[in-house]
Amino acid sequence: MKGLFIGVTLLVIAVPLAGLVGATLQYKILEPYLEQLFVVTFGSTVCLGIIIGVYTVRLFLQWRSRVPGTRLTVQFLGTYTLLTLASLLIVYYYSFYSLSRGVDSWFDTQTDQALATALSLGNISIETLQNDVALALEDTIEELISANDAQTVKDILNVALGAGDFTEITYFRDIESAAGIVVSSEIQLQSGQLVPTRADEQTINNALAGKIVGEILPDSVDSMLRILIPVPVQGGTDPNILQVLTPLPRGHQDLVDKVDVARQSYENLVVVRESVKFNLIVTLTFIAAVALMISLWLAIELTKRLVKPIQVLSEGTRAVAMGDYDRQLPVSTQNDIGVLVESFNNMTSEIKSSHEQVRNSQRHAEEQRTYLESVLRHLSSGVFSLDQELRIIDMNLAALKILGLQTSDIEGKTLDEIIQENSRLEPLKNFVESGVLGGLSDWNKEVRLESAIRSTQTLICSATKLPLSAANSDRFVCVMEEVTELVKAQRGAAWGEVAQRFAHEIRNPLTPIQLAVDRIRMKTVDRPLRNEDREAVKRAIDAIYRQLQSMQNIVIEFRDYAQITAMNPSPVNLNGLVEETVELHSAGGQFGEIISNLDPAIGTINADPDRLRQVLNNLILNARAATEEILDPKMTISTRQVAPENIEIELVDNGPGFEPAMIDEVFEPYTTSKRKGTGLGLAIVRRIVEEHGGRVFASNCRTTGGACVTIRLKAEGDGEIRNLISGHSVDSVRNGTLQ
Amino acid sequence: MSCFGNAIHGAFVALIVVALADTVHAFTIVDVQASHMDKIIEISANMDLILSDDVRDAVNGGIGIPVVTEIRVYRKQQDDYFDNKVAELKVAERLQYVAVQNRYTVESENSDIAGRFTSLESALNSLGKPRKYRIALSEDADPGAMYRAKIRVRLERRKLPAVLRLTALLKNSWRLNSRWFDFEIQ
Repeated sequence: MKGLFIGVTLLVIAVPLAGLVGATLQYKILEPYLEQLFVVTFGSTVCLGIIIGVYTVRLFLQWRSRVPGTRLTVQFLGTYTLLTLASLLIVYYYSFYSLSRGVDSWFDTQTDQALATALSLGNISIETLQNDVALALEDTIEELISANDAQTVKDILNVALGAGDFTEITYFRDIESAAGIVVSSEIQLQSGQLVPTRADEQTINNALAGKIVGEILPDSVDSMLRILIPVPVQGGTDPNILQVLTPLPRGHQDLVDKVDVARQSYENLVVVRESVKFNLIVTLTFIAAVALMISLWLAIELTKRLVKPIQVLSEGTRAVAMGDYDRQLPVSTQNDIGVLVESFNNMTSEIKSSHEQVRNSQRHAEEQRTYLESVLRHLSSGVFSLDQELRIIDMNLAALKILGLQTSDIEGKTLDEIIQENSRLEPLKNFVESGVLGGLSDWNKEVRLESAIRSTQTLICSATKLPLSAANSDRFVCVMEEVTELVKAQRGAAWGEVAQRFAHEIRNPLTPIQLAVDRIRMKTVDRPLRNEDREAVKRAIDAIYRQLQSMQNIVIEFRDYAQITAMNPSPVNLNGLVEETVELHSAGGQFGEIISNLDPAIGTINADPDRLRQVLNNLILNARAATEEILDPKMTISTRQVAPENIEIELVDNGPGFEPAMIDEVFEPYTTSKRKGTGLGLAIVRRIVEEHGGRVFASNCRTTGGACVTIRLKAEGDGEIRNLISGHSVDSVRNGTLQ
Repeated sequence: MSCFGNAIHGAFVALIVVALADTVHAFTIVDVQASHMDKIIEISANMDLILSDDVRDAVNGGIGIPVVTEIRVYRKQQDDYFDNKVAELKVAERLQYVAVQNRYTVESENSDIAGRFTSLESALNSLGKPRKYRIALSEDADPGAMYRAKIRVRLERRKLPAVLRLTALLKNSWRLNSRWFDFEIQ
């Protein structure tokens, strides 16, 4: 269809162009339609120009939009246009030059001179004839000069008429004057004429100037020559004129006419020379322009056909680049491009197959990674990896939690940078750095992270150098296990064992001592002794007894700390228990002021009431000891629900508070700032709380500056009571097997 | 073919003339007098004809230059747009130089009247001098009707020698047309 359109269009352009060329070359059948042919050719050329212009604009827009294949089209068309234009310009210039030279060569000097000479010859011939006539009428002229009246003149003219081959002789006397006389011979007037014809002004003026003037009468039937001969006037200024009509010699007129026609034709050619050149150049320009545009148009169509498969190929390539591996391109040609398209389709299939394999592998790896991530996420141990520059690559949630960091704190940072904001982590950095710089492949250490605002953490760290990664640099993985609580428990258990042994060992001799002292007392009391001796024995025995009593108390405390009695949990009204204990200590003004601030929403919990009471007693006694030197001692005991599953009991006094350096160790046995005391009170508190599955914290109150102890217990109290103390089970405790 | 050719010619030449060049008004209708009597309209027009250099050279080189005077007569209606053309007259003349005689001739193609002149100016004056054109209306013309007419004079390019026609078509110097001169006929 498009081929038909192109063919018809080319025909519409070529036919009028051929017609224009024919008309320009003066084919008679085409000459009448010169203007129409020109206009149609011009119009069709403009239309073709518009088609090419539209395509060029469209091509430019596509080039700007980087449509695939456009650059190739532009390159191809540009090259083709340059080549065509160059060759066409050469042909055009040569044709232009040849035409100009060819037309100019029609007009050579010899032809011009020959025609001028022929015309001169004709004129000379006429002049000769004039002179002959003038010579023949010489006598007549003499007679006319002396003639006075018209009749005499007429007679003279008639004589002259009969003497020669004249058709008319007329004498103009005083021709410029209104009173001038015209005398004519017995003339043979032309048909329809009443008076002799008179020459025009220019001819008459020439005759009046004294010249013999001759002219061929226009439109005369017999090719007449009119000769004007000046006749001198005696004493006058202007001559009179004798006009003679005489037939031209036979054939003379034909020759003159032929020369005239030839010269006229030549003159015409001279005049139209530029027009001829103009016509040929216009036609040549049209041919060149149409040839160029047709050539361009065909080149455009050819380029479209050539580039189309490349465009399809390019789009296919782009689709593959975007991940569309199902794209199969149509093979429209069997040439090299067709082979290329087939290869492309094969390649796409191969890529699709490989891609699916890669995707399966990727999916598998992804599953593995997800599984590993899940394991790491749910691992209670902290794990993190880092490179040789100690830059954190990855860190699991447990590690973040142990180190008290957020993800944003570690992203892209080195351990040095992290430590700038968290100085307490420096021991960890030192541990990692020691292994990395030391070139170790495996190393481990217990690391203690200490801080003024947080409790000391004890970590068991183990690091390993990983095999070379894809980045071809060393990487390390570090596993951390927080053992703070475990260490505390171990330490507590050790103390418990020590206390147990201590109590066991000290109790054995104490009993006989006490029995002996009792016997001394019994023997010496109420016996006759010297008074001074008696008093001395009595004081000594009292001192022994007091010391023994003190030792007994110490033993009891150690026993309480070390000896685990079986828990006897039951529902306990916590607020009631607190009020009861407060009331006991408030009675008798033992303590200054105890304020209860109890949350009524707290119900019963499952706990051992005796042991909880012991906890409260210990804490209140501690507070009383701390505020002994305070004028207005105060203590606030409050309970509150902190979460659906937790409750808290908080005891705050207005004493000096805990020493900051000791705040992490106040619950350790033998840690005390009192002059009296075993340092086991708060250790017993922690043990009992932990047996109830709770936690106890020590801090200093921001408002009063006094000590603040917070106990957190399970709200329902049905949480598992810690049964494992120092490695012994509850069952063994209940069975009394604990030693 | 003729109608088709004329239509195409008219359309495209008009387009080319408008697009490419201004029309040169070297011919001018100076004055017109008209009278109407006994279904005969007499029009006397005085024209000023000036030739461009190219045309003058062509005349002096012996090329005959066709000059056409066109007159169209309309019967007046309420609106000028609907005026009926009732008569049309074309007077074709040819101005030419005869080298052997060293004379300029003016020949009418409608009659054999020929004028011979020693100079081109006198020949142009003769072409442009007031002359009477007689136009006969049809027998059934309404004697009481009012008429208007228009006249123009132009160089007839299509009657130039073929070799000059393309030049005349494309060059302004050959575009010698007067404007239409409208006038009422009393």
